[in-house]
Amino acid sequence: MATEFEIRNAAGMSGEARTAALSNQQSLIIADEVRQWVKEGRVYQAGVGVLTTPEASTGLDLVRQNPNFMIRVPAGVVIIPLLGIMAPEATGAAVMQVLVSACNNDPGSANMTATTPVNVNTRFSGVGSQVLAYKTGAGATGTEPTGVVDLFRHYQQVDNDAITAAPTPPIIYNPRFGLGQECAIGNGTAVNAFLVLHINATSSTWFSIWTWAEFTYAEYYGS
Amino acid sequence: MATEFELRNASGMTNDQLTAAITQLRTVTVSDEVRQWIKEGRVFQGFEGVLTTPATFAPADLVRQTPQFMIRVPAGIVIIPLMSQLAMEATTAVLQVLVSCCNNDPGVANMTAITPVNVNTRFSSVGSQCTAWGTNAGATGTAPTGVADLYREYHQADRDAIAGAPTPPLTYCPRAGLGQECLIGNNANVQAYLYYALAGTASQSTGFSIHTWAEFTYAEYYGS
Repeated sequence: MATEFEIRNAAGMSGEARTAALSNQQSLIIADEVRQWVKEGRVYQAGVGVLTTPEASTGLDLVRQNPNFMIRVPAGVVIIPLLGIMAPEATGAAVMQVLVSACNNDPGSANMTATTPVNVNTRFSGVGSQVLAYKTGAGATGTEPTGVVDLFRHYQQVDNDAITAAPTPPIIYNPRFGLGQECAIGNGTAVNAFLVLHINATSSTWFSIWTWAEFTYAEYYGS
Repeated sequence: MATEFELRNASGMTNDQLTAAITQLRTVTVSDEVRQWIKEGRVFQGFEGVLTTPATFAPADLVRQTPQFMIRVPAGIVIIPLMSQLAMEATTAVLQVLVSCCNNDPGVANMTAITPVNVNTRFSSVGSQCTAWGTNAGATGTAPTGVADLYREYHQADRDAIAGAPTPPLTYCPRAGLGQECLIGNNANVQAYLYYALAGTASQSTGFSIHTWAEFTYAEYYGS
């Protein structure tokens, strides 16, 4: 029997040839690739704010070098940001802005605090991420981002926490569902970065959750 | 004729080799993996609040050890949480929802066992391999470790005072873009899914919640 499929697992292609699964209706059963990444232990989470303590956003307007959350991707690693959920707590007044972007250089990490990413597959909770995540942006990181691509933007005129006549759902970056542009960050030679700015025109406090999948450069590009 | 596909059912791969279905237009017919899990009887549901009687949400603020709903996944079982939905009834402000997972056993003190039910009625009488817990009244006993947060909402407004706009349910559903999908379980110890929901003053908010997940043995999922 011809067998044209091969099992892929956390170690990559396994050399193990198999038939693909069909349902009783003989339809092909399609598995989600991100679910496979979760299974392989490639998806990590980090964020801003801890449980009941949101984090103050010091920026009053968008400044490229003042991210609230950042992932520095070392040379030889590639990440795909998957999801961002931003829940503002107190907002001083209008205007609220969010900007998600990526850059092809190392913005530095001055005025930021390292945070430890956690695997979203509990089997791999003890396995560390290959990237460096930062929160608590308190000023310029040190180097101007270059090769910047903007992936998602939100601009809200109304003061968010003054809204009492309607729900205030979180702001979600999720490119797989049309909420922003998917990207790949990382190359074989230098630090690249993922940058998140969420600010309010006066003062504000936030919680945010960020997830991404990570690969070695060789795993992702095959070279 | 070469046959490159094989039937998969609740028992796994069957060695039953078949051709794949195509339409008259010769497009391939694909089926959703979660739908297949439902067919295989792997998807269970647990809920809080019964018909017209909402559950009371005791905590006034988020505390890692006081989840409103919890799934304890025993060693050797793996689950994928699929959906959590919250419909608040009475509230004061502020409304918060947090979804997370942990790599240890948080304990079950101050919680009430809930019997999960299969969402495939054919398998209604087949029990879940996990234990589900609701109606939190205090700390579960052990602080969660290895916590990953998967979804969060924060609403300043007192929800049941909103009279000028709809108040849709709050939904964690990573397949629909609402939150991060995760995988819970290993082959050595209990791990857990933790769902927190509250709305202001302690024990003054009430509501209903529905939670679903797919479950597998460790060997089924990881093949070892």
